[in-house]
Amino acid sequence: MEPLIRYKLISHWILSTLIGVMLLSPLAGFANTQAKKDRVRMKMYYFKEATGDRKVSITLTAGTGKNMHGVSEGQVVLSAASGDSTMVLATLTTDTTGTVVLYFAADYILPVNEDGKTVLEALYEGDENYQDASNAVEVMDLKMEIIFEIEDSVKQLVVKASTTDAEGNEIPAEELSINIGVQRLYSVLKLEEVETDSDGMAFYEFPNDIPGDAEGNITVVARIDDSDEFGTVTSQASHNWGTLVSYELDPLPRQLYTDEAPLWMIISVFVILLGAWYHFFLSISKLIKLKKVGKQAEGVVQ
Amino acid sequence: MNTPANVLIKEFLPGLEKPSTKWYLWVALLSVVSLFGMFALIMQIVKGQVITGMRDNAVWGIYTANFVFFMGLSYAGALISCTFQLLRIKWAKAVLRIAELITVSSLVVGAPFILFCLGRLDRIHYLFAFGRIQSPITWDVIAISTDLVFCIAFLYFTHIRDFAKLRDVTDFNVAPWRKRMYKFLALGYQGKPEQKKLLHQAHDIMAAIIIPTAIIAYSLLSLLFSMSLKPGWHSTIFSPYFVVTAGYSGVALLLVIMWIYRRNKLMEKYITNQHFNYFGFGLLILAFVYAYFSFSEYLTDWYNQTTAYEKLMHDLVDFSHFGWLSLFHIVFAFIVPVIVLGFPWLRSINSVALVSAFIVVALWVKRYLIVVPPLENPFIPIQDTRTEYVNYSASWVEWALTAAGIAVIILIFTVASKIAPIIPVSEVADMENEEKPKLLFKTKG
Repeated sequence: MEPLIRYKLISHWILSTLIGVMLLSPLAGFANTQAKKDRVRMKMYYFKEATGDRKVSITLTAGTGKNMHGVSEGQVVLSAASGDSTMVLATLTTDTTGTVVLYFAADYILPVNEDGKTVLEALYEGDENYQDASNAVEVMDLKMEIIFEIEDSVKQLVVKASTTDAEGNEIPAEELSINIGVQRLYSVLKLEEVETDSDGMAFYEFPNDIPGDAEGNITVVARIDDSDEFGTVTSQASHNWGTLVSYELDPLPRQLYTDEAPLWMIISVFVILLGAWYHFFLSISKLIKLKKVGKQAEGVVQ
Repeated sequence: MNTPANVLIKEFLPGLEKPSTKWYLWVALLSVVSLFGMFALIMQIVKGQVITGMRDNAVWGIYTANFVFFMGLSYAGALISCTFQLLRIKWAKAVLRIAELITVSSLVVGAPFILFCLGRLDRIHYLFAFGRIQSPITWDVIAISTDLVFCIAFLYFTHIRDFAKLRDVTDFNVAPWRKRMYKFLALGYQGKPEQKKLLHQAHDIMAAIIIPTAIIAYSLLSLLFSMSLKPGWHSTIFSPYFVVTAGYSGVALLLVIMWIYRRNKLMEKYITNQHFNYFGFGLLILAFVYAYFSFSEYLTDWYNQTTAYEKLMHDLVDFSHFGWLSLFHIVFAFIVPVIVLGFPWLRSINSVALVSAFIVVALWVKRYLIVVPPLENPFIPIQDTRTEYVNYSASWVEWALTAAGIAVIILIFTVASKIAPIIPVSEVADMENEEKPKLLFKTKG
């Protein structure tokens, strides 16, 4: 075979192969997408509310970047591990955002291990589209007490944080960062971040200019955010350390949108109506006179 | 005494005496249509507004279009009759009673239409008990009720002299109760100079007060729309636009009714070619003014490039939506009237009347286009996308009540023409002889 012909044949073969690959590659991609399951990430958070209620929030996400989305209708098994045994607490189903939240009432006792920690494990077994995923949190129950003290006319806010070991002994929570704030209408206004000492106590000199209600009451919030040991823990207490603010609204001025109309409008309507009806009755009075004249004329004729 | 008025009124007596069988049949037909409307209203009250085309989104439909339309006719009639009365325009006297009857009948029929839109008619008294003076609806209720009382009074005032003639005329074969009624309504009028003066004064005062009342009332009605934040409604031009549209439709209807009455040979003497010439000319001027206002309205809407306005303008010219209605409105409210009234060789009593009838219908269509398309294109997207929620379509109930409204207006004209002559006989007979009444407004020198 001549070199030129051989070269042409090879070229044709390469070209045909490339075209074939190009044409078939989408099908291959389709087949891959059928077979490949999306990797799922599971986020798990533990919260302790001021009321003592606790909640665990679990979120399943898949995809990356713009394609990231929640895994809805995902079945998550939540268990509590204690020693060698595991107790299934609930089987949960994620919502359209891939999130599910389980609440534990304040009086519900979660199992603890020998270190006094509660271990919560979540398992998602996956399905035909998603791979399995799991996560766990290991938290100790933290108690935070807010104490209002006045020393030498200085308002001192004390936050006492402690945990309990397996035997029920109270252990101070040391070197714990606590955010102190006051509850406002829609959110918490942060005042300061303080740290507990070796006795589990944190101190904060409370300002004198925080607006309270009509009696000066304010709600102080102490919160630990997303701690590895305790999760997110919130505590709150009310006291009359705020300045007195009366929220009773001044009577609204007369406006188009208030119950009572503006005076100019009432006067205008009154004047217009009075003018119109005055003229109406004026013309009616003319008719009454007309009738009287008619009666007089009838009398003259008779 | 054979005064000109006595001679003249005798011409009308046969028409006022015992009605013919044809008349009774005509009244029966109109009554049946009216009663069917009443039946539709009862159905609506019993079954709720779901049997109408109105829904959460298009909360108004042809009821509101009828309300605006009939109110417009009413105010136009008031403006025409009162203005002509005050300006002492003699040539128009013969047709002023028609204008006054248009006023009262349209007001009586039009006002209830807004009530038909209410979901809870049983709570109508709340409007009076808890109404806020800041609300345009409260203004409207006050203005319409005031205007109704004034217009009925004015219509009565214009009848007093004729009632006196009918009371005094001999060989008038009517039931005794009618004679007693004429006597009661004539208020003892005997044509004494003092009585004439008092009647003129009463007449002038009412005319002077009705003109601003009518303009204010119809402007307030426009505020029901323009004070709402809806595309196509929130406009400063609406008040004068409504008043001009009312005048335009009122003059057109007056011409149509004049033509209908003129078919009676007796009327040709009173409703003359001159009336058609003058009112036709007025109609032509109003057509241009109306076109100017319409153009201004649409132009500003067109330049408002928000999504809702864009969609509204699109719907108005889209032949699958309101395109045909818009085209009908433009052609018959402006183009055809200007051509027919503008070119002398096209002008005749019949053509002017025909064009006027088209104007009346086209201006009803315009009211429909003011009410419905903006409701179908709100600023906030419609949540319920069921077709009947997105697009308004009038049901048989609404059409039945509309037909009943028209029937009641015709019925009022039919009955009123039997009680007193449709031509103000005393005014027409005396207009050449009587001493010129003093003008309300005059300057020295």
